[in-house]
Amino acid sequence: MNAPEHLAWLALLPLLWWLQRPPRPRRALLTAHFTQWQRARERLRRRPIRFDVLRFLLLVVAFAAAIVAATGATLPGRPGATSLVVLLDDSASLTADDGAPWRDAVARVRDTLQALPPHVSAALVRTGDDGLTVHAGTADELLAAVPAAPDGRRTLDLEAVAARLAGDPSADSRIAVWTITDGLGDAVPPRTGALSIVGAERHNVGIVGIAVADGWPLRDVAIDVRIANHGPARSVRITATGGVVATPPRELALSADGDASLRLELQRTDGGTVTVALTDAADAFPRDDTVRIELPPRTETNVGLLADVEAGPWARAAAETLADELNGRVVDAAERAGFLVVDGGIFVPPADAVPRLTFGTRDRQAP
Amino acid sequence: MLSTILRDAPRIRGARDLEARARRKHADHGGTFAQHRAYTHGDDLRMLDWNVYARTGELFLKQLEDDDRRTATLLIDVSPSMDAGPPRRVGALRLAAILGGLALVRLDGLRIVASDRCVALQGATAVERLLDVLATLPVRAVDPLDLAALPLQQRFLGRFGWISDFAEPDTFVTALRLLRLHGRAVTGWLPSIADDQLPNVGGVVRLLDPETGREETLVVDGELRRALEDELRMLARRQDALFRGAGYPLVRFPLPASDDYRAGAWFERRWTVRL
Repeated sequence: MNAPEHLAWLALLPLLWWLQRPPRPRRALLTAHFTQWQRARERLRRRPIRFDVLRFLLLVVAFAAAIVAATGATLPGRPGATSLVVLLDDSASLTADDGAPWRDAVARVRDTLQALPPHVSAALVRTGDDGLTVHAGTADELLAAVPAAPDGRRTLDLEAVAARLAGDPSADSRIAVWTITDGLGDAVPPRTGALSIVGAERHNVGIVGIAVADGWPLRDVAIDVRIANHGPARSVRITATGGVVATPPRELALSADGDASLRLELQRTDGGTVTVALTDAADAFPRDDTVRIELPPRTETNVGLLADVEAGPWARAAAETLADELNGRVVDAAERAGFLVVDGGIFVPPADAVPRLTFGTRDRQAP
Repeated sequence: MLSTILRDAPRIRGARDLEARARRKHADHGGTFAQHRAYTHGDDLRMLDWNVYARTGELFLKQLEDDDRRTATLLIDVSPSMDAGPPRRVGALRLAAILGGLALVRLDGLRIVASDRCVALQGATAVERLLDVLATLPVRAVDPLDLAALPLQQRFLGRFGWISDFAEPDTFVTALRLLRLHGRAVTGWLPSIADDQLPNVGGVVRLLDPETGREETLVVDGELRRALEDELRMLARRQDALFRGAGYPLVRFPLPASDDYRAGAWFERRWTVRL
């Protein structure tokens, strides 16, 4: 209490009571028509004059509270935390919007660490690809540990990490946990300790699923792409490049916060890496817009035929049909072929054995 | 003042025939037997039926039809509401004294029913006792139904006069219905006071209900006075409707000033006394 002399104002409470009293009646009237008086008053929607105890009590409480506030009375403080753990979400989503959320987060960490009292120690915990990374030291050392731009993909649940860092809540823990995140990647924000969310609301669209139906050794390749939209309804373009015959981009309409699937029917060229990409100018997080698929290379068009003397004609018919599909021809085993059709006998595959289709053939490892 | 009124009473319209009837009654005690009635203090001992006393050991009076017609019963409301405002109770008791005195002088008997008391008076010499009885009536809240049942239990015949403020007309409905059911003729006497129209008050006023003890403090202004005036008019209509519904007359008797003892002030309207 800094100014106890203000308590003298409490002596004015009787004056409040005197001022709050209703006006004194000029006259008392003993009437046989009390009911008629009451009805007349109720018709005019008036209330009888009486000392309002509740209003007086509220006035006294407000007056007393104002006086206590004027004296500067404060409650004794309780010992606070002696350790501050900054749980920094350094997942790549903070780079959205040209990295503004990340810069904001770093600025907050810097300001807080520089304003810490000397008796409070600080630690920095980052969540990245490698799991948790803990840094301890002075404010400058901690700031130096903050990367220029995050590029990790967080897999840890921030709430679980924060709860583990805070320790047992029933014990007299002196550890304060401060979580800084952009709020993405968690179903619910962390509830343990303090929480700061940086960055503005952003909309994301991305490829969340790929299924490949490869017709190898044929050229046909079908790619099923599943796309999730976290934002308003929009239309995106899907392209597949590299290793397949170029096709025009496909348009796909997405509902608000909905999923959609698209099948790309492609023709293999030489195989190798096929890049499936999603294009949307309004997408704030483009890192999940591209998926790469490795397709096996296209085989030789010649189909080799190995058949013993007892083999029937169907092996040759199969080889000729396959060669026709690949626009090749059936060759003997002595020539180089991209694919073998083997019928019966014992086959000892060479070191550079090509893919084969065998019928009733026993394999034997080369000595 | 009462003696002046009683002396001048023969000049009051309607009283002469009653006087003649009373004189005939004194000359001849004959008549048709109507019923027996239990003896009450003040009854004429000459009317006791000694044969019944010999058989039962209790005192009963023979009531004759003419005798009943020449008897009046006054029911007097002594509830606290009669004491409220200007002294309606004083005016009511003076009115009861005049009506009762006339009944004693010109008729054969008078019964006063007030609170839980029943008093029978007879003869002009009982006027002084009538005044004593009226002066000693208590102030007590009585249910109108109980008050009406009392003379019926005593088998009082003749005309009834009910002096009250009828402040809550609804509470009198059953009582009047009961009296009508038993064939009693009732005249309501309502001593009017200025407050029945509009009390002359203003500013902050504390109102007290003498019946229940409730109280309220109000700011009385023109708007509230007009609303009260409407309520009082509505009350008067309800009182009129109460007696009209029962088939009885209601006499609103404007009281002279409390300090006005002139006999003319009580009869300036020359109203007919029917007892």
